[in-house]
This record gives sequence, structure tokens and C-alpha cells, in this order.
Amino acid sequence: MIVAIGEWFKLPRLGREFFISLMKAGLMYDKSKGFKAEANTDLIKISSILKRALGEDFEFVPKCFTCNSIIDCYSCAYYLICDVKSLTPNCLCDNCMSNEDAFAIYSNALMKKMS
Amino acid sequence: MWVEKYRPKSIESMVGNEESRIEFLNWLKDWKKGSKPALLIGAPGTGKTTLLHLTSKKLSYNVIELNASDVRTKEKMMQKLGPVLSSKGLFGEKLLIFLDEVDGMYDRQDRGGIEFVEELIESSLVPIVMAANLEDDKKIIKLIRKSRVFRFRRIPPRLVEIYVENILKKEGVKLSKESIRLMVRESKGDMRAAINTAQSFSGLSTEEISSIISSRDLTYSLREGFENFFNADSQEKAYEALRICDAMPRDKVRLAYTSVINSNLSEDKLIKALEKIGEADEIVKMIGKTQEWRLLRYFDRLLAYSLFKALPKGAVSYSEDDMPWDLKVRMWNESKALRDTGKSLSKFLHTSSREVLSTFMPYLLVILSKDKGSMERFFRLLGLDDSSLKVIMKETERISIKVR
Repeated sequence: MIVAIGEWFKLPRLGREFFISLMKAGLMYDKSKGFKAEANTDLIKISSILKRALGEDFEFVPKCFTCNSIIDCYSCAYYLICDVKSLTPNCLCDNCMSNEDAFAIYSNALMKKMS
Repeated sequence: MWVEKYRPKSIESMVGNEESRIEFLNWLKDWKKGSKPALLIGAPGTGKTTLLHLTSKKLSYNVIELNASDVRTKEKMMQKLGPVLSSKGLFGEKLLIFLDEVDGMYDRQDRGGIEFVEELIESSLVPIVMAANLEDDKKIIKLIRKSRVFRFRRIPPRLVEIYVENILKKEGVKLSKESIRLMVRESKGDMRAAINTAQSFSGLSTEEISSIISSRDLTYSLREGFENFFNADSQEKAYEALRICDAMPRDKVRLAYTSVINSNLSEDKLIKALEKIGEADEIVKMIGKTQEWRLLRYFDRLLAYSLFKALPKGAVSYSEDDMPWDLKVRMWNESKALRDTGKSLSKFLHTSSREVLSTFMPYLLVILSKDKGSMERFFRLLGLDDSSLKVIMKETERISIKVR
């Protein structure tokens, strides 16, 4: 299962123990929207709990900081060396990276969020 | 040096850890007397110190900086910080105390420095910011509880790439995309390392850069080493993965153990693997005891060959959890009852409550499960209340089913 950091997602019923563990690890829950992992939650712990609970691979993927699109990590040149779970949860998508002024665009996006 | 020349001049010109940067700026903006101190946790080169200085500058704070791992004694700390603690700046300027590398203090707990910091953060009239490199929080857990924590994760390679590209553009240096990517891969999310490599490689061709990087001694971190080990096709490859893994033998044994106990191996395979790890552990201990350090050169081969045979390929993945998953989940969820039991028993067993829960408790429960009456009496004597007793009874049932 692949989920973007900061996006709501649904899970099947996992049982009381897993639910409590996920809440303690910092995953957010809303009855109507589902679950959400914020940037500062312990993504390693949450994905390891979910991997166990679901019995399948569970991965959080970052979103593009400038255009907010979900990033396809598999096509990234750094896929093999990049461990998104221990990295800062924002990245840049292929489109934004290919722009000549990628750094300026990134800085402007941050300035907007700061103001 | 490019690292100095291109040190970010504003918070916006940094890359990575966007949320932490924004939240830290807001924390300092809203700081008032009695606010919790800030604790910046993250690996070197992720921007903790830079952010602190840029934010202080932006909000006109004067920073009083102390490297907590150098100045550890209470007296020295008092000497440096005493005048600041009880007053505001002499000319009304805003002051901020920055304690860098606070995790370094915990290596020597005997000089009163930690206690001083813990007192300091509760009584200070000025904002206090601490920084720690540790990714393992256990050491600084007390400070974490008392502080507002801002985590700094490693910077994603793509963001390192655009930062380095921007510098190269300003310097008028042209490097191929492939060369830049090689350098970014080398830096492993450490911006300082990436900029230094970019400076030293400027002017070289892609082929030259590639040959320099590949000629450097390749070393694996524990994670890389063990991931390669568990997925190796052959004994030799498994050995090679452990050989170039840059870690102490004791850490390799620990990692092999934690990964194996968190795997889904069948019982007989698990026992076999644990036996092999136990043997390796025994050997490391014997080498330490007899100080025959030269024997350590055989350690990687021994661990690799014996463990490789005991594990099916890909059946184990890297894990640092020091106890089996099921036990950990129950410890999280029923922590109060287990903590109370662990605490009471630790006094009798002269060990930590964690050790009681992970090592002694299963045996104790198996022994006591044979007579529920005496078990109840035993735990009542320890002072457990009804709800805690219920949890323990449930544990006993679980464990006795497993034993049967």
C-alpha cells in the first residue's frame, strides 16, 4: 500500500491493539476521513506497525513541496539510496525538478507557506 | 570555502525540513516566559544550527552559545550562563541560550551538567534552544518530555541536487547532470558534505568524478550492511556485506538478533538462527575478556557463514526493535499495568523494570500459570490493583497456550 504523507487514507479493521499502537505512534484518526500521518509523526514506526497489521508492504511517499502532486519514487534517480521514511517528507516532482529555476520556485513556495 | 560562502542567508533559502523550520520560527515568535524550551533533534548537516542562527537574526535575538558536550560541569555552566539567567540583556536586547550537542552530556553523567540543564529549562527567563544529533531518543528522553521537539530529518537527494546546482550556477561551474547525481548520492543527505564534494570536484569530467567516487573505500552503514546480508545470493556476498559494514562486532550481533526476532521465521529456523547468533555473541565476549583482539578479524566470516546457512534468503529484514513485535505492542497498549509489575519486581530482582518485562516475566508467568491461586496472591503481594491483575492474567493465559 502506498500513501502520501499528509493525505487521509482508509484502512480495514485492524483490531484494538493495532489501533491503539497507531494512535500512540502519532497517526491521526477521523471517523469519516480515515487516517493521516503528518510530517512530524514517526513514519518509521507507523509503517512498521501497518506492515505487520496488513501483512503487506506499506510505504509513505512524499508530496511535491511546490505543486503538491504525489511523487512517483520508483522513477526517481535516487530511489535506491533514498529512504523516504527517515527523510524530510517533502520532495520535488519530476516536473518541478526539470525547471531551470527549481531552487527559486522551491524558495518561493516556502515563502508563501511562511507568510 | 563554498560551505561558508553559500551558507543560507535566510530561512527561506534553506532546503528540507520545511515544517520544522516554519514551526520553529513560530515558536520563537510566540515565546513568552514559562514556554517550554525548544529541542532540535537531527543528524549532522540537516540545518539545526543554521536555522537557529537565522531565526535569531530575523527576530533580533542575541545568541549565547554553549557546546554542552565540551562544557559539562555545573560550575562551568553556571559561570557562563549565570549572569544571563536572572536578567534580561544589559541594554534591553533580547537574549537566547543555545545549548548545542546536549546528547553529548549524557555520556558522563557524574558532573552535574545534566541536572543543571534540566533545572535551567524550568526556570529560565530567556528562550532556551537545545540541539542533539542523536536519532536514538532514549538517551535524552527526559529533555524530550520537557521540551517542544523539532525533528530534522536528512534532506532528500532531490533537494540537495537543486541546492548544489544553484551554487554551481552562481560559481559558473558546469557539471553534467550525471556528475551532480554522483555527488549527491555520495553525500547521503548531508548538505555540508554535498557542497564540499561539489567544490572539490568542480572542473572535473563525469568520468573522473565517477572513477574517484568508485575508488573510495566503500563502507556500509549497519542498515545497508544487514539489508545486503539478508538478501545475499551467496555465502561470499553475505560475508562481503558484513565485512564492509562500518560497525563494531557487538553492534553486528545486536542487529542480527533484533532482525531475527522480528522476522516471521518458523520456530525451528528461529531457534537455529538464535543459536548461531548466541555463539557469535559468546565469541565476541570471550575475545573481549581475553583481549585477543586479533581474533576479531575472523568474526565477520564466522557470523556471516553460520547465520547465512541458517536463514532462507529474504526471510529476515533489518529491524532495530529489541524485542519481539507482539510483546512490544502489548507493552505499548498495556503499559501502565506492565510498568507497575515491572517496577515492583525489579526491586526484588535487582534489575531494570524493562529487563524484568522482556527477560524474566515470560518464565515467571509460565511457572505461576500452573496455580492461578498462588499467582493471584503473588501479584497482590506486589501491590497490583484489579485492572493490572486482569492484564497479567490475560498475559498468563496467552503464554500458557503457547507453551502447551
